[in-house]
Amino acid sequence: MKTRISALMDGELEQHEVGETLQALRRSEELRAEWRDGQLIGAALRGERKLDLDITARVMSAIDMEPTVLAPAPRRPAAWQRPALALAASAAGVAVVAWLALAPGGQEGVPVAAGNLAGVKQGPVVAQTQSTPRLQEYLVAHQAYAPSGVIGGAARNIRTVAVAGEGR
Amino acid sequence: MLVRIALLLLTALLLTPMLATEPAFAEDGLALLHRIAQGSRQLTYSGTFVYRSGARVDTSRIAHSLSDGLEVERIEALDGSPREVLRAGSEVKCFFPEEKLLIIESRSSQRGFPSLLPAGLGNLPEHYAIRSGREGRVAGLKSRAVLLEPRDEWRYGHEFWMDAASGLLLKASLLGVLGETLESFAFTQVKIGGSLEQGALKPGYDREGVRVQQVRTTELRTDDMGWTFRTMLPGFRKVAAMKRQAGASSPESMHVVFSDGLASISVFIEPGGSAGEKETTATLGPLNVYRRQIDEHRVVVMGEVPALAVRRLGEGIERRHK
Repeated sequence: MKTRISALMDGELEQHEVGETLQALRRSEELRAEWRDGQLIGAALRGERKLDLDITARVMSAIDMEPTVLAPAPRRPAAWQRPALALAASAAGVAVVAWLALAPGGQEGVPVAAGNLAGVKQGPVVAQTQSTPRLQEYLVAHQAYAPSGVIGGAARNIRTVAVAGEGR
Repeated sequence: MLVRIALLLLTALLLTPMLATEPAFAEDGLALLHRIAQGSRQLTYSGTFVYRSGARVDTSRIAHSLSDGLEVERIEALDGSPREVLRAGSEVKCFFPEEKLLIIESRSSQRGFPSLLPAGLGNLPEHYAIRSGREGRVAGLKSRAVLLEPRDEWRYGHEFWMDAASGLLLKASLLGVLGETLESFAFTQVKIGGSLEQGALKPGYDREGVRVQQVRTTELRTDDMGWTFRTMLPGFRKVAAMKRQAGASSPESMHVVFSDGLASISVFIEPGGSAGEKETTATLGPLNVYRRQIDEHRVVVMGEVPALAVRRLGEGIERRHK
């Protein structure tokens, strides 16, 4: 089945095999893990940016805080390091990204994390005073205005409490 | 070969009754969804639930009641810092103890956002295959499940478990493309009906030294938005558009909400950011967040939808030229 999965990723399966393989994926957590790893490795090899932590960190910091961080740009990892870095980032996962985004005050978090992972010393952090809405505020607004629909009033605010506290 | 054909025929025969009853299932499922929507709003309940997202697990306490037509609820995180959400009708207060920050969001007028009311479930079968019927047990209660599988790649799947007796939603999961659970919440203990404990809905935080961020919003008509959305996602329609301001010194920004009745996507457009920032997608728990710079404006699109969806919607945003 594992060969089937890599064949599926490479688009080398016949139509009927695709259906069967997807069914198998649905049934087995082990196979799904296989699929995810494969996807991660593939993405890392292609150098996709979503998995590239320093990019993610940079963007989240841009969303998070207007206070401009003046730090040396993290050195780009050498090409051979990328897959490992990407996997490390995904293992650390969402929590890292969210922590970066929602770190209290927001000023120190980003360069430290991005710097450490990229193997660079932390640079000076100079923050300007201008502030803009932060991701936390966006999250609250998003949940507050999400249609109550099925989930009803209560459940939609659960995410606000849980996700906003991520990485603490 | 013959065996194959025989097998195929047999499969077809076995599948026929299932196919034939699918519409009935869908209708049944929809009825259950309506019950859940009603139950979640009208019931008085309190309990403890577990929230999971990725590797993260959180326990929280919830109390909810409806009195004189006003829905009041309080959610408090039991793990980590005691974050709190209090809601009374259309006003939502979120307290973040570590920042000593209280964010208050109040919808300018309920009347202005009719689509936020539990309606419009009727369109769901167009975008989700709805199945119901499975029975099980959640938090010690006999429950029934409703499964919604997306019909396209613009949304995630959902699984809901409701208390068979009251209709209260006991467990909900957000399902990814491969059926993997992206996020779930489930009651571990719940008390339905009766009256709440004294003080169950009272805020637990101390207002001393707390920074209050009262967000003011005003409704926006489509013509006044100044922006257009060129790439609309199938089934998602605009349910709210407003100007928002977090404080007197904060810049005014715009918030537009799109929904397919179940999933929602928020678009925030605010002045700021530096030109030349690259567009990017990131994740925040089960949410995907897309960010893009358009001239002197920062555009952030977030929602509990696949990354593909926030990106697609975000890429179609343009200034309107008058």
